[in-house]
Amino acid sequence: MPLTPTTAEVLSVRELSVRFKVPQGEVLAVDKVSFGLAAGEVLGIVGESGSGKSQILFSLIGLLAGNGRATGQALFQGQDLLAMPAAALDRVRGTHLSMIFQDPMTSLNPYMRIGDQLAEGLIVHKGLSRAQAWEQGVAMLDRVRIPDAARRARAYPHEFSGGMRQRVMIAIALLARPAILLADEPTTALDVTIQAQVLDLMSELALEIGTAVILVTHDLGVVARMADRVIVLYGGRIMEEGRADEMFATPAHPYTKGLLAATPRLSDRLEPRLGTIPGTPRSGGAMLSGCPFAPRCTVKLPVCEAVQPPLITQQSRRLACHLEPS
Amino acid sequence: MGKSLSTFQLQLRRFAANRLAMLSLAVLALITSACFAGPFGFSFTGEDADFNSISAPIDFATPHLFGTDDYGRDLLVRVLEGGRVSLSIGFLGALTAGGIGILYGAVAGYAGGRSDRLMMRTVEVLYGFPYVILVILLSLLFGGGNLALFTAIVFSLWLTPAVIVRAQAQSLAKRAFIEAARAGGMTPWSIVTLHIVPNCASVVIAYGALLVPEVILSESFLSFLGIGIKEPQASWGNLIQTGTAAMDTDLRLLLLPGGLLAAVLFCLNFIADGLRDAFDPNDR
Repeated sequence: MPLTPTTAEVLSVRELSVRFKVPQGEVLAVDKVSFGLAAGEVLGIVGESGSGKSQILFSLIGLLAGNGRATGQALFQGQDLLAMPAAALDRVRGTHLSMIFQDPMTSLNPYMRIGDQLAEGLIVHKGLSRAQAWEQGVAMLDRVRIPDAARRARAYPHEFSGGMRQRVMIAIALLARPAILLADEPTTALDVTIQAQVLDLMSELALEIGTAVILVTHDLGVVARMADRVIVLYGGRIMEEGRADEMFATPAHPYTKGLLAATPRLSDRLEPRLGTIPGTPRSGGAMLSGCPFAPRCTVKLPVCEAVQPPLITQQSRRLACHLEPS
Repeated sequence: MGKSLSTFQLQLRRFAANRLAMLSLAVLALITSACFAGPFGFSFTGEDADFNSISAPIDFATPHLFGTDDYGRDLLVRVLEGGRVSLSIGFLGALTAGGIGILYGAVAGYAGGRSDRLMMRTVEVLYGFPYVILVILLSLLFGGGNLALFTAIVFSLWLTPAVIVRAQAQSLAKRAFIEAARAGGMTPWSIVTLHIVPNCASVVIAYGALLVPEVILSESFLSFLGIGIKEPQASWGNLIQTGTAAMDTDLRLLLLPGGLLAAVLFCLNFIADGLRDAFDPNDR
């Protein structure tokens, strides 16, 4: 079971599984993942490529690829997002649920003025006139610190830099004041110098509006900076979950420890060298009967490869490991 | 930074820099306005027979500048009036065929899966339909006339734009901004009309410019065969046909409509070339 939230949950995900049909059979990308999201909370989901972290977001907002299927439940305001008919989902998306994508360079329509792309959602969902919607769009553009917003709203995407475009995407996503913002590696495609700016802006606005954020990333630095709570995902399963500060201070799962050891810090002297996790990340293929991390785990027990460790709640943490946390 | 220019406006600028295309555009505009305004400058119409001057030769001193045909009808006025018919059918036909094709292709390409397969198989079946037989069947159905011709032309020419746009829409559907639109709760219809279709514009415009001469040519061809525009109404096709009959004795009946048709087709093809150079992203 998920941790008991202190405030009301806006989203409650139960046993979410995502499967893809491929010519070789079926790939289980996400395996019975359960978690809750409290109002206004920032939840980080970290994992390597192929761990299923992005697929969790795509399944929530109904953007799974054609060969993908999500099972389980994702309750939002008493409705199951996974079982919702298309028309109802269209009303939830863009109003209560927004998403920011990885690559701001391709996420904007090259043939539409920025202002029109901002206004579009308000016109469709809130029935505003184009002038009203445009005005609100410009105000939002101003809040994401696009200089000279009124004039820049008339510009086209190719006249904006990557960082500016991602700020535009944030403006579009938050314009309808959604309850939940899904961010899929929002800074991966940006220059390191811009990343921090964009992240700070995103969390600042989310806090102001009261939007809960699910932030998917493979960048632990980003999570440490922004998240209240962190889920560590490996092979489509939750390995560990806990409060961000606690988890970074005392990681319990061998995988989390490995990830942190592999993260460079300015304070360290990198001696003898940066840690690595042996082996390559698993993705897809046949499900193992045991822990998905077992083949790469340096402290595994014989039981690890045979039996899947249950996700056990201990105070503010959840952990799926046969080893007793030390 | 000056006024913001869209990709589209930049492409138009590139087009405007193409001298041959701009010259063609001017010539085409001249011919078009002559066809639509010119006949008003005469005291007679193309169907009025002047029995005092039958088969008159070119003589700029008389009111019949380019002479008359063997019914005494003024050749120039008939050619201009025929131009009205041919150009209207050409542009309206291309517009209609293009419009249907774009929408059909965009829907098929965006929807994908089974509906896409069904829609495109339908197009392939229609492709297999012999064109001339289709026209004859439709003229029977509509009892001949302009409408039958127009329908037949549109019916056979919307297929290629549909295929082109569908391919474009298919690749667009996978782009991140379409996904972002879906995540923003846009309905499939608004995604197709606001995001897919405008992004197909470049391809469509380049092809659409080729569609116009194709329609004009196929109108002329059908009228030449006698299953298109019927006498006494003039079109370039049936005027050329009359002209070929008298070709051995009087070349002027063939040269005037034929020359105008050729000039218009040349212009349209140069314009299409210019548009393709300006709009085709593969060319840069």
